Amino acid sequence: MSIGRDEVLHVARLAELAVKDEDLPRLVDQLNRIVDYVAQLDRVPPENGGGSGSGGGDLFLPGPRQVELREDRPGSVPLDRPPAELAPEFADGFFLVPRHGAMEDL
Amino acid sequence: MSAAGVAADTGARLIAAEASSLNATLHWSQALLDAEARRVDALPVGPLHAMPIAIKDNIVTTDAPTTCASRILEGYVSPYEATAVTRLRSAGAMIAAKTNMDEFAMGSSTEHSAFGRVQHPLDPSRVPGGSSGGSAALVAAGVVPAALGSETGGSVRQPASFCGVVGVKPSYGRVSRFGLVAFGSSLDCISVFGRTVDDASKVLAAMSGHDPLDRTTLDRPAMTPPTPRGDLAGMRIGLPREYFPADLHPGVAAAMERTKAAARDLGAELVDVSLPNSPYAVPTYYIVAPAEAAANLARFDGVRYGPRKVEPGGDIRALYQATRGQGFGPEVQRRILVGTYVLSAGYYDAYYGKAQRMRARIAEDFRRREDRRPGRHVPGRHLRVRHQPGGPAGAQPARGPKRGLAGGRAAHRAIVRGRAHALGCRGDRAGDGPRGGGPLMSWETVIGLEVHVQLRTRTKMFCGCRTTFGDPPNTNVCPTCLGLPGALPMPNAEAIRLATRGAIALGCTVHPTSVFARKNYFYPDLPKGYQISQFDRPLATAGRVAFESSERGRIEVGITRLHVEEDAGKLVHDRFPGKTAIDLNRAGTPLAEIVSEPDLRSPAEARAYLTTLRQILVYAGVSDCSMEQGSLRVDANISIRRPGDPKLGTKAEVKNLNSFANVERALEAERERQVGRAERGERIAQVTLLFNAGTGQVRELRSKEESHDYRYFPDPDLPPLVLAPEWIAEQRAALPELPEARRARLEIAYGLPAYDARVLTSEIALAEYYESVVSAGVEAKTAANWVMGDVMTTFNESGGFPVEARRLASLVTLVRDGVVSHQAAKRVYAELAQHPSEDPKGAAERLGLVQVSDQGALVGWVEEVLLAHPAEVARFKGGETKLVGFFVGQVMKRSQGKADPKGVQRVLQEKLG
Repeated sequence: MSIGRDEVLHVARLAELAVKDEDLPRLVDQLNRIVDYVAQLDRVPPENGGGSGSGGGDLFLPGPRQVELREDRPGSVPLDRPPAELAPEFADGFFLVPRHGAMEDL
Repeated sequence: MSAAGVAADTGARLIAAEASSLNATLHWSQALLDAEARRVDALPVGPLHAMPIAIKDNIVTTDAPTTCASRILEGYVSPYEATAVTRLRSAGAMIAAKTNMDEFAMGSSTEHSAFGRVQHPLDPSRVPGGSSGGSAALVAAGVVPAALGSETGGSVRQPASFCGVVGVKPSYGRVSRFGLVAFGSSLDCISVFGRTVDDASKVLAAMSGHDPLDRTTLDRPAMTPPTPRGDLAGMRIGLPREYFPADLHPGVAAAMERTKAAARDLGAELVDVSLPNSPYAVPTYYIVAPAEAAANLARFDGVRYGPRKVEPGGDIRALYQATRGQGFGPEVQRRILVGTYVLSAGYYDAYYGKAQRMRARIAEDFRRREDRRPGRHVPGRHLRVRHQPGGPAGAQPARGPKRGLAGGRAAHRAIVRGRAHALGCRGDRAGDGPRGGGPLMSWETVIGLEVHVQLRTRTKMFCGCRTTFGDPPNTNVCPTCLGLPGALPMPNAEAIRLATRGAIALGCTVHPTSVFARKNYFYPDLPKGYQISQFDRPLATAGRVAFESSERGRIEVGITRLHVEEDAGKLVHDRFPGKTAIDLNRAGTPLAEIVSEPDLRSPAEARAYLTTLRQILVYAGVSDCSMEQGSLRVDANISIRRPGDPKLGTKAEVKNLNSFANVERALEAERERQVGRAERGERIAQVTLLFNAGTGQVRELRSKEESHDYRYFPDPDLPPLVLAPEWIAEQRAALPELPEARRARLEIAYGLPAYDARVLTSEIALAEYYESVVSAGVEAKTAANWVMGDVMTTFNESGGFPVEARRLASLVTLVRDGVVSHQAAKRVYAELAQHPSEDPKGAAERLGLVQVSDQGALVGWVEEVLLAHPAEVARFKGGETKLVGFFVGQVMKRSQGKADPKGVQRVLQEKLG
């Protein structure tokens, strides 16, 4: 499998990363090297039976085999400082961002 | 030495380390050290009393910045503290400094810090290893006795080896990750460096143990530091043969031989073991870690915290791309791109799915070996600056953490050519549908609905913040629902219970195991850059909703699936010019998404389906389903095809419909649009639409994302949701009678017409009220008439029952006994609604509405009426007997409704003959 320039640009858009034109050839090369490297998993012979991970199949997670649920009781980790002090732009209790036309549709 | 003395000495050593260009620290100050000393002095002496400990800069602290050695978090000070740090402080430790690292822990040499590389404390030409190189270097330089690092693929054991100090990576889940800024969630472990095994084990013990804030911690008590001993007697140590390839560096091989000999001398038994899938560990890591990282780093978007880069006039996407493009270094960006790629549409199975299966196999290798309980040794060697070993685009991770197993690296101080080497152990009404002769007749409409309902909980899906509607903006928020670095989700048991009830009520199969998944997309109302939802393993599937279709009679619509997920926040566009305001009070509210099969054949059927679905969910207590408050929202999919064509047409999705009537109107509009295009021979494109209730038209919505490539994958912060079959059975048994069953029972038990039963069961509260009135002695049909009349009017107006059932029953009895007329009773009812404690008879008397049956009074009113209407009297006597009703009415009017109508009729018959 080989990754082309358009594919890298597509992935960069999905990841909301601005990629400079001059960086593109290097990224294409690096991603292809990585993809070639991980392709060795294609050569692994299949094995009977699933894994021992929680959930089996495509799911392998270490740690507990099932999630522990929390009671529906109000009380969360407190904030030492309010959101207003964390935010790059904040007014009248709201986080602010530049308006985007598509956002008004939802 | 007093804590103050330790603080002073530590400060002096930190200054010296800075002077030597070690560049191992990112933030420290004598003032903070002194404050730590004062705090510690006020505590009872704990196991780490006055021990200065350095903390890797990806573990959040409230008194110093946490930057992850990145520009995107430059200057960020966390408003909450990591569990591990809190535990260390409680044990008496003093937080001495935050240490330099590879940016976001991505690297193995600590050369990838936005704030410069870290030098090896013994040889400036060499790297200290990484990503936790700053912590390792500080310990090796003797600045602090212990330091915290984090491991994803060897980021503690490898620098421990490089720097000749003790490095211990505990088993995954032994130390809470709450407050550790995530790189690869299923791989990350807070780990320890120490000058000695004793120091390292004490620190590890103090911060270990179950943490309710991290659902991936194991339910085990804190560790106990081992008793120091001078030998290894009774210990079996496994030597995986795959770790000792033929091309192993001779110096490393020789050092290993010496170490093995030393271990034998100390009484250890060395055994040969095989981990056959080891060669695939690194490629597996190269898929899993970047995939998780790409999602974990989506929260760094410049919206809620951290520096923001914005171009003048730029929109939200420009903000994202500038902030992230300039804020992340090249290594981090490369890993994000790889992670996004391996999860993107069409590649999941080829990469991520395959890597997960391999991970399971690797774990199985270890499990088999663990049956025999050996430890494992990993040989390692040092790297020069900018020297990276054979990975595809960077350094290799160590071989342990893919399995979530423990590993440790005890420096044995074997010096080979002057360098330390290490031993590693480790969802027809009339005129609808076909219309006579028009083009619609030759097209079949196919509709499926996705319904989101807010589950009736007190707190959010993954944190303890309240779900109260209408609170001031951003007041019900916490680290988790704000998506702050290091915060983790904690699922709400009540949300799961309610979703399960809903699924059972809809006839679904509830699956004993389901899986939370991340749905990745950027939007300013989505704090983490992904929504926690369920994807290929939902809570429940294969249900049905039965109802009367005006076109097809009784039909059943299939429920494809019901899953739980968290809501997004709310955007406000009209408050600040040129800006969008974000309120995250709603972010994280628990939702059930219910997806129907495309079984609906008209907009009217869609509306009837929704009405029935809502009734079922309200009856089951799952949700209040208030559309006004947004607790029930509908997205509708619609396509057309020729009747008999098994293939579905191209669908359009109409989003965010806020009433059932608007769902019907929107679907009618879209159906006509599609039929028009099809009749003109035009192509129907797959589009997302919004309905304008004002114009009755749909319009195309700009895409939420360039393509709907949500890159779902299992959420590594949440183990599978496992429900015991007995518990599911309990939920089934606890369900109340549902609307369809209640309608049938009301028809049979009370002899009610189907129409009455349907109206009375339309709301569970109405049905309950009706049965209470009947229980209080009122005849069933009389009760039905009252409830469907005045009672329902007040219920619709106020949402309640101001006249309780017992009082209504008393009032109806007064009518039956002739004390008040039916007309008068309606007036009394209205009064009772205003005066909750008043007795019906008392109210009737107060209003002068008690019927007059006194013969003399009745005769008087009748004679007055007859005298007043001689013409009518003559006509009556001429044979127009129907005029008796006219005379009764006049008497009632003259008596102001008080005359007993039966008595009036009797007197009229006497007087008129």
